[in-house]
Amino acid sequence: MKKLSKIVINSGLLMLLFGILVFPMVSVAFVKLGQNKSTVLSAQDTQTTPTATATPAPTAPATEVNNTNEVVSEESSQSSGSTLTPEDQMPSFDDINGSKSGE
Amino acid sequence: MFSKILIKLIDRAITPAILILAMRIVSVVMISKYYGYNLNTGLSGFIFTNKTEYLNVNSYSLLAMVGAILIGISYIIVKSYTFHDSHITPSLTAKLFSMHAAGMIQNSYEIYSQGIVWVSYLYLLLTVSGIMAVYGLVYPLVFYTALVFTVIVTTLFVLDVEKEINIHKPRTEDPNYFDREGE
Repeated sequence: MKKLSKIVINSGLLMLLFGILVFPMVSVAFVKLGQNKSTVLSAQDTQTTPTATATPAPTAPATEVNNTNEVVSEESSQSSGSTLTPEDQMPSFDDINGSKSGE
Repeated sequence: MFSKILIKLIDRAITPAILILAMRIVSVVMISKYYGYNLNTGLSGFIFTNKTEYLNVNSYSLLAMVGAILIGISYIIVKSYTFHDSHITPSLTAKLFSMHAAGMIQNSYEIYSQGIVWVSYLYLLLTVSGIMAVYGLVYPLVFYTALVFTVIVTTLFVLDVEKEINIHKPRTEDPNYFDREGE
């Protein structure tokens, strides 16, 4: 038991010594090559603000097209393909029945 | 219970660690001011936007760290060659006692425990500078400088240890003892 505690204490001391030895080398990481955030933000503000406000949100047409049961146009099916439901792309029963009755 | 050698090494390692750390921070600030670089400090340390500025500051700062370690090691080497109690000259001993500086005379245990710590720092810094030189974060000259100093210091220490071993070798009255040993 005494021997074990001696081993544990000495290995702890050894690790402490290693930590003290390595600690000053960590200071090498204090100096970094990076972007200065304040200057980069100011540059972005002056250059990209007009374009950022002029571009509209791309998901707007998808909500307007699919309110009725009419056949979906090409534009709406391309621009909002991911948001369309199968009901929007297929003709409804009324359309089919109407076309049959028209015949 | 505790290992005396480990306690001694930990005790000896704290002061150089603080010195090296302080040297790093002070040298970065001073070099930046000397070259007129814009010094941006953040939570993660000093940040440089320009690669040339970063290379300059990092390289000279590492050189300053090597210099700080060399000053400490030089002091230890002078002690080990001149003020070592095993081979100090009688006249120098008398002078030191007359100057009330007998504390300068140290034994092997004191000198080599300090020497091991300082040399370990030099080896670690050599490794770090080598890795940084490979990745182009410092000038290769920094690594080569550290390498040259490490070789010189290691050689001086090995020579002193050899001298110490020779002093403590068992001596016989017969001067031809070692010549006849192989017969």
